[in-house]
Amino acid sequence: MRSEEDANRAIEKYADTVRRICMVHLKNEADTEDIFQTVFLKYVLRSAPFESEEHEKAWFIRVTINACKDLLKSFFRAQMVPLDDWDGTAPEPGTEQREVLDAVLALPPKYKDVVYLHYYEGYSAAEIGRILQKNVNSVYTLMNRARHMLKKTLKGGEPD
Amino acid sequence: MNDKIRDAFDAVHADEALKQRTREYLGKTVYRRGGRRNTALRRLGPAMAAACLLLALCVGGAYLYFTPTAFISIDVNPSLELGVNCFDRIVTVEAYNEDGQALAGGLSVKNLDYREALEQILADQDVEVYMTEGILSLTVAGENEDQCAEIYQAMENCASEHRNVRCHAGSSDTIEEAHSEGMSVGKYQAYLILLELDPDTTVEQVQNMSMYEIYQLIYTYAREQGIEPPIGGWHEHSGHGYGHGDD
Repeated sequence: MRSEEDANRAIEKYADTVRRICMVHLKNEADTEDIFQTVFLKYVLRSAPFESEEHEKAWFIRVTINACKDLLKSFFRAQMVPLDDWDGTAPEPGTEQREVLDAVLALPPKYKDVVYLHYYEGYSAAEIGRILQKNVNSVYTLMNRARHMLKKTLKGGEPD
Repeated sequence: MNDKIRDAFDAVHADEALKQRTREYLGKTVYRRGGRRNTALRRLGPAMAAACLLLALCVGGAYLYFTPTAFISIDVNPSLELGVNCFDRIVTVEAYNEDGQALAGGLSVKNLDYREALEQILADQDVEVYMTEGILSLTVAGENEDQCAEIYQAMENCASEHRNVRCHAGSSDTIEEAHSEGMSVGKYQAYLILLELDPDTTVEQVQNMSMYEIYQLIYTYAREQGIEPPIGGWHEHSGHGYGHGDD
């Protein structure tokens, strides 16, 4: 089991990452808090060491995505996803940042992780394939389709 | 596109309150921070639960033991009643007149099996005197029909060894009425029979009569009205012959 100091360090370092993934998947604050507790509890109880900081970060991303998916699989959660307003930690409505974020969040679920991991976290298709446990070619396909959908929605900017 | 998406996600942060709640959750769940008392309570929890269970069992057991589920009414002139619990033990001895008090004072039947208690009572010298001069009525009444049937059988076995003993199964409905009138179930049953034949009969009159006198009245009134004495459920084993019409 990891020390309390280690837990606090991980919360400071990865809270934003966990929060962003929660936003990609979830639509209310209570679920986000559940995921925070689940992810950091798993971290504290994990005894195996991480090979590197990248390994640790990838672990957090994978565990958070899986926790979100598990939560959404629950019958009750699937039936009740109120579109609560995000609190002050998200871009203000009307801003370009908000417009982009809304466009990403409006994508079908299977594209959102890929967009987040590639465009924000900077992972390659091969790395995304490892994190999401998907075939690399599938990741490429998802990236291409997501890119076209975002381009169409945002009507600007030449995608990579 | 890259920059726009990066900027959009960059604006998303976990607020401090969420981080703090997560720290508190881990502190409480994993590190038991500030939780010496909680830990002690947690350790004591199973012991306290076991103690509560034991207490509940003791209280429940005591309630079961000390609650009569059937009553054996013994009426000659002395009138007393034995409360029998569901384990067939005598848990109460209630006297309903002075003679009954005198008789109860000389008995030590509490916590005895009712069979032993009955044998002891019928073997009592004072009771033997009453039986030679009068009628001893044994009445069982209670909610549990099976238990009452067993007690009735035991009463008959016991009575077969003695003269002038009659056994009767009373109605459980009358237990409360009898007690509220200050009478044993057996005597109250006899009063109800007498009341059918003579509506002017009062509780006070019957309270001061021996069973022999009550049966005599029942038999007399029945003969006057030209009917069989309605005491057919009473079994005579020897002696005066009430219920057989040969008085």
